[in-house]
Amino acid sequence: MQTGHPQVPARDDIERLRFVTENYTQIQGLRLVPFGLFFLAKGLGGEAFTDKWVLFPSLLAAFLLFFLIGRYYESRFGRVRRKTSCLVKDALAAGLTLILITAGVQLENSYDLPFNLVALVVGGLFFYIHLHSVGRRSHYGWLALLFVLLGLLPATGWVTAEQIFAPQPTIGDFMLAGAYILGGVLDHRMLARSFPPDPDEESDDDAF
Amino acid sequence: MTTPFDEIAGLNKIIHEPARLAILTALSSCKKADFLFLRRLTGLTKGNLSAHLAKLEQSSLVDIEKTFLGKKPATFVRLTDEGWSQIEAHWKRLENLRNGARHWSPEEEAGP
Repeated sequence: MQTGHPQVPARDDIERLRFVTENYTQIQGLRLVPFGLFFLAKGLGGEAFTDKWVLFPSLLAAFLLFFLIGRYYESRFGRVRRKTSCLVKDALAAGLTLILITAGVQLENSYDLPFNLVALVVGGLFFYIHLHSVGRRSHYGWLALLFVLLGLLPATGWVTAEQIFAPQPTIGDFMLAGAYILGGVLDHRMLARSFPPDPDEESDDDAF
Repeated sequence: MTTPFDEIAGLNKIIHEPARLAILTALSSCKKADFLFLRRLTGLTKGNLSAHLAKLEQSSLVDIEKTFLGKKPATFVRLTDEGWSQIEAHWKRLENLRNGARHWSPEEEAGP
């Protein structure tokens, strides 16, 4: 165990123990990569992805991979059941994001806005993740900045607010693909580095 | 008035051992965690972790739940109510100790 003092685990170490345990599910970054690939395929697929027989099976495959990669994390790093308060907090954040995105889409359809609300909401979500990561997921700060800039892009007159996410091909899909893949890989790297070297090389289930 | 040394004397030795403090701190950040997670997070060997958990269980600070997930056995560990209050009180005491040590001077202790 990493300790800075013979009696008490170092402050950084305590922060690591708390952060990794509290956020273990969210920092299983490789689980996000299938969604990044989905958005990449959607961006490249163009009109093909407007067909529900292409869209839904692709999304289903992304969810299937999401669960399978979760099993990999359980077998390699173990399982944690989160506190109810953390689950409620995340459900509220996800619900609020969904409401804001829906409202953003409705507003964009009704008004000619000089900014893209969906990109700004995604940027806000990334900023929220960055703020709650005690400096361990600083890449989300950069992703937040990129999405805020993307949201403000229509103000330059180069693109309209609707062109960010629709119709195909869209800048938004490629940006989401990049965010999921890059954010996922960096989260995984951070998670793997947060665990000290395994003293027992062999696989274990129960020694207790 | 208590000095930092009084606070040190009041620390619970079962909790204050670094490995056990790490285990309890991790468990205080979740509902429960399995044996593998605690082992990987703390970097302890299986034998060491088992010994520490046994000691914590004897002191009624943690509950150990053996179960099966599918066909695979799994051991989950969670803090008891006693464990929650003890670890919170312990961190509060360490914080007081840190603050007390920062402002403590031997002259004050010696008195006039």
